[in-house]
Amino acid sequence: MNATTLFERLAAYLPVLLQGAVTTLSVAIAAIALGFAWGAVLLGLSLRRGGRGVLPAAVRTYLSFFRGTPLLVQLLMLFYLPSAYGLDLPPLLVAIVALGLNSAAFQCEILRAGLVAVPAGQIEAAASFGMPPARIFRHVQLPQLARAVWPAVVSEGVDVVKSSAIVSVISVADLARGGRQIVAANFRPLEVYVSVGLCYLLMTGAVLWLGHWLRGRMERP
Amino acid sequence: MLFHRAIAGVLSLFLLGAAHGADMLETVKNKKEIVIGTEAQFAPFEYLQDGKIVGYGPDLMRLILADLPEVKVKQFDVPFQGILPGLATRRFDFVVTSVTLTRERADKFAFTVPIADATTALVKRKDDAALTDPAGIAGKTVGSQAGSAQLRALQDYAKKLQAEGKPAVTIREYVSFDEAYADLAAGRLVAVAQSLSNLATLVKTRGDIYAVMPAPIGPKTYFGWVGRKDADSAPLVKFFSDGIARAQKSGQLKELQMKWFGFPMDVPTDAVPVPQM
Amino acid sequence: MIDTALLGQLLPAFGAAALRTVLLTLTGLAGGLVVGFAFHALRETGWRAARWLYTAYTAVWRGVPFLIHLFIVYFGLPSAGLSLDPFAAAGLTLAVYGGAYFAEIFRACWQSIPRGQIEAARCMGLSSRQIFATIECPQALRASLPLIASQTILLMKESALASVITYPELTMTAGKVVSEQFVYVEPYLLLALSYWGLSLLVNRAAGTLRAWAALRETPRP
Repeated sequence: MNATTLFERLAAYLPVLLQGAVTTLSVAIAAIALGFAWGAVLLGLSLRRGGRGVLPAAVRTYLSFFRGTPLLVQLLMLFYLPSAYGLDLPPLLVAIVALGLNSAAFQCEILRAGLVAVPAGQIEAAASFGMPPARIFRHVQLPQLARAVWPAVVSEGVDVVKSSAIVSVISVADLARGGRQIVAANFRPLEVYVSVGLCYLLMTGAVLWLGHWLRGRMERP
Repeated sequence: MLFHRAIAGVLSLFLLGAAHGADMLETVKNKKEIVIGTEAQFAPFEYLQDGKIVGYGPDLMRLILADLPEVKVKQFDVPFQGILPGLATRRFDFVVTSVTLTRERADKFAFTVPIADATTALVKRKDDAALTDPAGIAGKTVGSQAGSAQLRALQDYAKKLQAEGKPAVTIREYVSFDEAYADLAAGRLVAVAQSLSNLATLVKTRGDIYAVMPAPIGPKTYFGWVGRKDADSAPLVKFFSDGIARAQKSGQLKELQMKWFGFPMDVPTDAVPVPQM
Repeated sequence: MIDTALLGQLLPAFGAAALRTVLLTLTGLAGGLVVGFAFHALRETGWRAARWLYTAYTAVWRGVPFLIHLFIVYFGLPSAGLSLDPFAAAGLTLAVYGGAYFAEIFRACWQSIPRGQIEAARCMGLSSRQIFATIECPQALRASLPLIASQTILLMKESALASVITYPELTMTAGKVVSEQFVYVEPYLLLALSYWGLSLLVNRAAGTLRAWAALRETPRP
């Protein structure tokens, strides 16, 4: 074992960890976007016919399943089961889709809570002015909705970055896997995993900062 | 009511569809691509170095696949516990990872001829002077990999010790061997059950921490590669099997063994041996 | 097709494993509530150092994936002298991890108490401790119940990672069956159902607790 200083070792970890971090961020960002879009769609579907019928019930099942079972199970199912039907999905895509489908369940609930936050009186007033529903949504509901749910959405973004730490089980070379690889070679778990932790902290911190900055931009008239 | 019907619908998604047939070797040649499942946490057979999968297995695989030059290899590195199930659900076309030949596995899957010896032994901490004999693990905690044949050998050995009236062995099951080695070094385990081939390399690189107890604790077993046990995969399995046998005859197999292990191994390559466990 | 006979065979093992998952989750919940409340109370003292400590704790523990925290505690600490067995490591990590979330939940719920009530109580001569115990705590804790319930479910899902450090809970049990018997559908089906069922139980328990608390709060004539 050659006597290297802590600093030298940390510098040696950097390339591997950086590569993993890039993968983690790419997967997370794609998954958050997918989750938001699909979550909004789910919300729309669940509101049809006043919440009764097949579609809203299906959405409720979806939400219950994706929020009530571990992401690990969802990830493994999405990786191994489709091939039995002849569907060959690359691991990176599976990771993004699984994280996205999972996040959508949470974002749907966040959006629903935000929707309730818009006072009904405003909607009625706008309707009485002759505003079509689409315009009401865009100018009355959406801005207030966005402001109300933004902290929760940012928080969900942080959660997606953290949840991505298990995608190595389906062969995606992310940050957590980079850490395990280094530890398997150099047997120094404490400093390696603390370094990995710091990398995640930087990434989640960046997400929070980005959320804060975007919120500032939203507030401007 | 609708909610319950929806749940039933979700559950039905778990049903596996019927398999469809096509000669796998031909399919691979036509697609110009082969999907390989590997657990790259098994030095020196297959492990990660700078993000690439290297080792005895990958070298041998490249040697054999030189006969199919246009075929690209898509290699997925997943935990061992997902390797054989992934093969069964057609996630992988073939498995190039060191799978020990056992009766249960031979019943469900098709093995190639062996690539290395897989006989199980124990590794201990070098400074552990108290443990001199495998039987000394009685009453202590030992680890191995979940789902592995080495774990099975350990479990069988522990049962044998118990039948002799010795105190019970506590067995811990790890996702990968690397974590078991880490716990051995940390003092949580007194030994890890692993194949002698792997252990030899472990003490070569980490001989300051670990020492092997060379007496085997299980029957003579072999590592091989695996394909699905159906008519479609038979040509593919034969292709790899023949490749391994050719490498043995030409001496290239021994060359690789010297490169990765430092010693040659006697493996039968005329036919898949009868599993001893 | 699903092998129902196999499902039946697996039930005892899954039942035992489910109990271990529950045990681990409850440990994380109990420990987390204590740790979280302690940090929240610390913050409420108003001392600058206390607030800084609170911010550092919640930021670090909520900004890094649970998997990494677990690896640091289980694999890293032995080199610093502390070697914990899998249950202790997982339970402790879950408690400290959960505590960061519970602290934030308490903070939010405490802030939601109308200031007017506290001012009025102060006017009436109640001490800070009395205000805390009789006015703030009951209302804030009742408000926090749904959030604590969802956080408990999140803790339960994170407990699945204890399988990586060899604690024989639900996820590890399913993985064992998969790799030893080469069956994929039945174990993962049972796994998903087990977690799903447990999460429904948590929600039901939280609902009952809320109803009971609401009953207690009803002013008597």
